[in-house]
Amino acid sequence: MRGFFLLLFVIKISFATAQNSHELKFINYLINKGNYNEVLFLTNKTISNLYPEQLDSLNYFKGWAHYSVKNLELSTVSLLQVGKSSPFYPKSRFFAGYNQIHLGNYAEAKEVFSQTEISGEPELSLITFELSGIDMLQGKWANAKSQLESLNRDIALINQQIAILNKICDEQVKYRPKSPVLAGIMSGIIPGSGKIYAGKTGEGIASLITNTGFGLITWENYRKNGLQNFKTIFFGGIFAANYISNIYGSVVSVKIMEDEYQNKLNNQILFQLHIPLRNFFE
Amino acid sequence: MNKKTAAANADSLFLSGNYFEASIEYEYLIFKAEQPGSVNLYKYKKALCYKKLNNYNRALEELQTIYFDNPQNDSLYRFVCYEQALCFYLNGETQKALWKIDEYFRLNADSVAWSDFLPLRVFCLNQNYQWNEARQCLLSFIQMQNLTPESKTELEHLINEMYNRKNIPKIRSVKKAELFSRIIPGAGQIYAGMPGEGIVNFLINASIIAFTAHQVYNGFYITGYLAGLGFFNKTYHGGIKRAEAIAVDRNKELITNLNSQIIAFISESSN
Repeated sequence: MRGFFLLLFVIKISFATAQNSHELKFINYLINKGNYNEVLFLTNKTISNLYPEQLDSLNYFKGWAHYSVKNLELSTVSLLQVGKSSPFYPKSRFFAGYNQIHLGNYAEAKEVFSQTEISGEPELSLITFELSGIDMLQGKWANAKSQLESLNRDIALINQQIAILNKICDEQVKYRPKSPVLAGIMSGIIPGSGKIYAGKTGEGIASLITNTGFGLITWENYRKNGLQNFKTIFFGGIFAANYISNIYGSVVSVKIMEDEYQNKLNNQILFQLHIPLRNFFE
Repeated sequence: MNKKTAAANADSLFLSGNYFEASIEYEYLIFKAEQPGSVNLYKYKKALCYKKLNNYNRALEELQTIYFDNPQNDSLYRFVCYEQALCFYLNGETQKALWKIDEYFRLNADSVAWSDFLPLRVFCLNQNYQWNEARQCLLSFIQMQNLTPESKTELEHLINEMYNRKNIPKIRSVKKAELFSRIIPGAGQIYAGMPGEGIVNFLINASIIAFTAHQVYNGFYITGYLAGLGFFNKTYHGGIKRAEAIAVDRNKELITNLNSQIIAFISESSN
């Protein structure tokens, strides 16, 4: 009798695992079709009786779907759960690390890369390459440069990207940020010139024209009506508000421009870090 | 789960309004299907899920992948064509919807199933201001209905009334609205059907011009030119753009009203 129940149990388990295998194949098919929201819906359902390797695959699919719909935090959590024995392990670790870089969690990203158990090339060089990118994003240009120089240039996968990151490092060493104070002073002397200094030439010219226009209207009313006249006070008020807001705008413009520059630079570095990952793993 | 159970499960999800879940179940059936015929059916049902989710682009993507070896002999072909035309219409692509309907008509010259497509064709023709064709189409639709000759005559009379020159929507030309506002500020808004807004716009522009003239007359040339004309430039060009927008909105409203009348008319005739 006991033997019969044991047999029943074994049959049930094998049926469940076969079913799971089908579901995983279907999830993989959806991933290949790019139906990531459907994958997330399926992977969020509880699937029981999974073999460890099936669980690894499920975590990888979930992580990849989250990554594809830009849920980087959730993607990292799932990808880091993929075990070492899984064929998806290297890809999961690299993309979990990349997610952390993208989220600005540089310390966590370094930890992910340094704890990745990988031997052999080009994976090891790829780790050093990603670490050098993190240093660049943290503004440690000298560290990044030395790491980039330690990399083997014969690896075609990262060869071009090393050259580009090296060039960015060299440019950054020479780069001098623009001063918001100087922009404010310039706009105080010649309205709009601070914005031109900040790189927003069109805005600067528009500010110069508007300020000059209101200045001329105020001057005309002052000359003909005197200082106490309503129109002089009205247009003078508009001119003053415009003049002061233009100085403030120039200071803010420099800050915005610096932020934009920094974002552009970060995106450029992130893009270069991403290319070898996509080329190698897809 | 076998295929029959999975199909029943997908259908029940669809019927209970869980369209996203149903779409996944249909995709699973596509994944498992071996016969091209059943793949087409599941793709069609999956497209219906996307249509219910208001994702017409994805519904169209799904429908466009359905392939028929012999369209004339496949009963599903008619439904697929209809859904494609409907999704094009709902997506605002009326020309494509008309093209799809006409393609179906061309391939099925003798079909009695035409009548299903005719109301949709009427809506599309109305959207394109093709009144005479729309009227003919609606008359054909009535002829295909199982009605008494008296009812048919009465309905035909109603259709002819609806598409009478006096009753068809007065479509405002966007170009004319723009031109009128360019010549007399506010006139475009009045032409497009918003006289109140047109008068206000005219008064604002006139006040600014009067202020400019007053300043120049009193020797305040800079104030007149910069403050007066500078401000007028904004209100004048803004008024022109506004007239165009009103004409576009008003035309949409008129067509929606006409199509609503036709829906009510079709419902009445089928009762």
